Order: sequence, then structure tokens, then C-alpha cells
Amino acid sequence: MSGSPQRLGPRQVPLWIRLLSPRMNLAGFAGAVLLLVVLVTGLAAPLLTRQPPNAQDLLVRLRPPGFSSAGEVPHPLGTDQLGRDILSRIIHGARVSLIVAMTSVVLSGAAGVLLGLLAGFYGRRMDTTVMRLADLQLAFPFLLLAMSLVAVLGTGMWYLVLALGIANWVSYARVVRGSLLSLRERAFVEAARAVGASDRRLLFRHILPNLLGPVIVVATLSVSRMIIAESSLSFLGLGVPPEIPSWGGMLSDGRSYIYTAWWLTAFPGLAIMLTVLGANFFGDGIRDLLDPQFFTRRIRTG
Amino acid sequence: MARFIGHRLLQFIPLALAISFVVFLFAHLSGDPVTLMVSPDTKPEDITRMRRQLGLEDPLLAQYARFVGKAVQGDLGTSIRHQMPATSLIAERLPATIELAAASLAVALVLGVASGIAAAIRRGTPFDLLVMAAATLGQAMPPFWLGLMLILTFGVSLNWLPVSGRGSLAQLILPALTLGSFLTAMNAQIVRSEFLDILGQDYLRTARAKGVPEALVILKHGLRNGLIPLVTLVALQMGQLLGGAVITETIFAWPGLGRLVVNAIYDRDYPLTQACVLVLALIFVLANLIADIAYAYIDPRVRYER
Repeated sequence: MSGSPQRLGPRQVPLWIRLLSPRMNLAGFAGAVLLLVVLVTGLAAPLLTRQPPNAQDLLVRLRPPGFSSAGEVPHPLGTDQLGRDILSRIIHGARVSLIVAMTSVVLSGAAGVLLGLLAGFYGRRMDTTVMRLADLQLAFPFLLLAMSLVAVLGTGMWYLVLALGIANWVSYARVVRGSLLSLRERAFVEAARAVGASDRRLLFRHILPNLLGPVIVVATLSVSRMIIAESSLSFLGLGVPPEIPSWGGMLSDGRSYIYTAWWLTAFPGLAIMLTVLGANFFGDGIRDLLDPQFFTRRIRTG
Repeated sequence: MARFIGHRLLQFIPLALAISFVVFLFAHLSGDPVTLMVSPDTKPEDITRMRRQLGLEDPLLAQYARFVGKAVQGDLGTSIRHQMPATSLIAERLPATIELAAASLAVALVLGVASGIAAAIRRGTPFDLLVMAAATLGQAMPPFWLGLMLILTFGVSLNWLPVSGRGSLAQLILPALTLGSFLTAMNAQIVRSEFLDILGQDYLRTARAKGVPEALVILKHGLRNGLIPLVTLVALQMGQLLGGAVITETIFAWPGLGRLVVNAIYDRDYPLTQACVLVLALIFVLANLIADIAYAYIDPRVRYER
């Protein structure tokens, strides 16, 4: 070690303070607000809607937006082929969309971080194994892999989460491994090792906190990918079961009525787009904030 | 160069084997194909006999070895639903998927690169802003929703274009736009930032100083250098295209591999699902291999690095 005062690690300002700092750019902030609105809407869905999402009223089927049945129950976004209120279904769909996206992000993040840590820390055989596994996984187009996994595991919301989680761990593992390889040689790791810290303590206490920045960046950027994947699979009937209102499922229903009732497909799609837009802006904002070097080249694989 | 290609081809073999094993495992875990083939009142001993005949009682690795052995000879099993060899079903559908993917890629490259360059040249103008806004929206839009909206606009309201089937060029337009939208948006963004770098380079100034016309400066000197990173990207985008084809083909009733695999999954037609997934994954890996080689060809530094 040199004689000059040495930084022990890049972790000087706690992460949550950096996230709230005014350096977060405007688009990122707007994205965060948008996501928050969707999240709160989804969580408070039963309070915000007058009709339950699955309540059918066959007398008011396929009514256009702005329609009120007998002047009493308003349907601002119209009704679907079973007379269900579109707005209510969209609001409840937000819940499904975000639950699936966030849990699968957490799941794939946990798996990817763990595998990346093992690969980067132990190196050699472990490294080769994990990285070959990553290569193998990347040989499958993402959506196709998720579909195949659903076919193997079965349909249902939690199987979907599992499938999406398995299909997306690689980006975390790669980022963690890459950053770890440079961190491993840093003085603070050496110091901790010198005072006799165990491997586990070294990994989780000293190294992991320094990796959180890039991991959070990957995670926020994956949220939109998961939202689109969930809606795609639900659209194909391989995702969330039909009794749960989901945006993809609504689009799938509405597809048959596209010639007569445009509002069945237009609104759920807009909801997806706005949410993904929010997630993308937020992700970009966080990336610029935490990891300026990561910069523009965002390569999304398969 | 020959050594580089040889080296990459050698790496392809173990990867292809690993892929085939994963696909085989998926099908194995999915369920027992015999239960789908027989009627519910079949006697258990008949089922056992059938399983033995099909080799399902053999050890897993023996089954896998047989699967690979047959696959190498072009036999990927028989579809339960169609009662036809999976290979011939796939061969029948593959041209449609390749046509769609190629058209989408062409859209993504031509439209994406052109608008990216134009935006970079007119940086800060309303045009630039428009391109960037469209690129941002294009990456946030779920492709299948865009497809539905295109059907609504051009098929239903304006009645300009056919919305399903394959055969004429007109039928290709909407599916190709749908599948290509995300990549067009992505390419526009990447090419723009790439070109903003390039436009400030000395060699462009030199070219201008020599009196080369501006259009030639951009197209010949600029584009050549800007395209290098795109080659790798295009290969990665193949995955997006092949995965996205599944949905686009469903929306537009496009008779390709994507629809075949979705229907195979619906029908629990494991042999056919297995065959389709294997073929799609191999195409993707091959595309990456070709891109690697192309990259080495364009940029000689790559050849010596590895």
C-alpha cells in the first residue's frame, strides 16, 4: 500500500442518499414518478375502482368509452365482450404486471448475483462452469426460452415468475463477475483478508455492498423487459391465467374484436407502454447516476 | 482468417451439443408423451409395452444419445398432433420465418441507420428531437400491441393493407414493421450516438478538406466506421427477431416456425416443441457465429486478439 491516504472503497455515500439526490436527471425522475403512480394504482386497485374487474354485465357488452349504463355506472374506457369495465381491469392489471415483473427481477437478480459472486470470487473451475452456463443460456432467444420453461413448468402466475427469473439471471451474473474481478484486487479486500475475514464475510460484508450500484442498474433496466415478456406470454395464453385480469390477457381477448371495438386493445397497450416508458426512463436515470461509465451502449440480448 | 474461422467452428460443436441436451431435458421434463398418444382406457401393461417400444424406459443418457444420433441424420422425431416428421413440418415453415426475419432486419437496418445518421447530422433540431422521441417510444411499445394497432389503422380504418397470411409483398409489410419496430428504434438511437462521435473525428475533417462532397464524406468515410459495432448488434438482434417472430406470426397468421412452436406448446406436442426450439436456438447461434466471422473480416484486430 502507498503512503498517501487510501480510499478503502467506492462506498462513501450511502446508496439511498444518492438515489434521492438532485443529480437524478429530469427524465429519470419523471420515470420514477410514473412507475410509482402505476405501483400505487395497482396496490390500491380495489379502492380506486367501483366495479370488480371480473364483474360481468351482459347487458352492456362492448360499449364504447364514456358510456354509462342507465346513467349510474360509468365506464370511462368502455366495456369488453362480457360487459366488464375496462378501466377497472386495467387498474387491477397494473398489480399483476408489476408483481410479476418485480418478483421475477428479484428472483433472477438473486440467482444471478450469487452465481456471479461465486464465479468471480472463486475463479477457475467455478468461473468456467458459470460462464459456460451463461453462454448456453444466451444461445436461446429470451422469449423462446421463457415460453419453453412455461411449457415445462406449467402455466400459472408463479410458474411464470419462475420461468422469467430463470431466463434472465445471466446479465446480473456477468455484471457482478466483471466488477468483482476488479474489486478483488482492491486494497480494502486485501485488508479485510489480512485481518482474517472468512470468505463469506469478505463476499457479503465487504464486496457485495460495492457491487450494489451496477446490480441496481441492471435490475431497473430489466423491469421493462419483464413487463413486456409477461404481457407477451399472457397474450399468447402462456402466462397469467385468464381469471386474473392482466394487460396481456386483455389484449388477447380484444384481438378478436379488433374490427368492431378498438378500445379493447388500445387501452391495455397504452398502459403497458406508459409503464415500460416509466421503467426505461427510471432505469436510464439510475444508470447515469450510479454508473456514468456504463454509458450509452445498452446491449439487450435475445 | 482460416484459422480464426476454424477455431470458431470448433467452439460451435460443444455449444450445439449442450443446446441439444437442454432441449432434450425440457422435453423429458415436460411429461410422458405416451399418455398423450393413447386413449384413457388403455391397459397399464399396454402403456408399459409402448413405453418400452419407444425406448422411454432406457436410461436418460442412452435416450439422449439416441436423440442426438437421429438428429444428426435429420430426424427430430414425429409430431404427435400432425403425425408427420417434425423435420418436414419445420422445413415447410422455415422459409416463412426467415422471410419475415430478413424483412424486419432490413427495416431495422435501413430505417434505423438512416434516421440515426440524419438525426446526428441535424443534432438539436426538431427533426432530431422527433427521431429520438420515436426511438424512445418504439422501445417502450410492446411489439404485439403495435401489430394490433397497425391492423386497426391500416387494415381496418384505412383498409390499405392485408392483415393476415403470406404470399404477396403487401402481406409482408405490416408483420415486418411490427417485428422490426423495436430494433429500428434501438438502431436509430445507437447509430445516432455512434455518429455524433464520428462526425467530430479528424479523418472526416481531412476528407472534407480534400474537397470530398459532403454526402460522400458521410456515406463513405463515416458510415464504414459507424457500421462496425452494428455487425455484432445485428447478430444479437437475431435473438430478438426469432423470439419476437413467435408473437408477430400469431397476430398476423403468418405460417412460420413461431406459430408452429406456439401451437405445439398449446397441443402439448413435445416432440414438435423440442424440434422447433432446437432449430430456433441453432439458427440463433449460427447467426452469432456468422457475425463473429464477419466482424473479424471487417475489423482485423479481432482476429489476433483471441
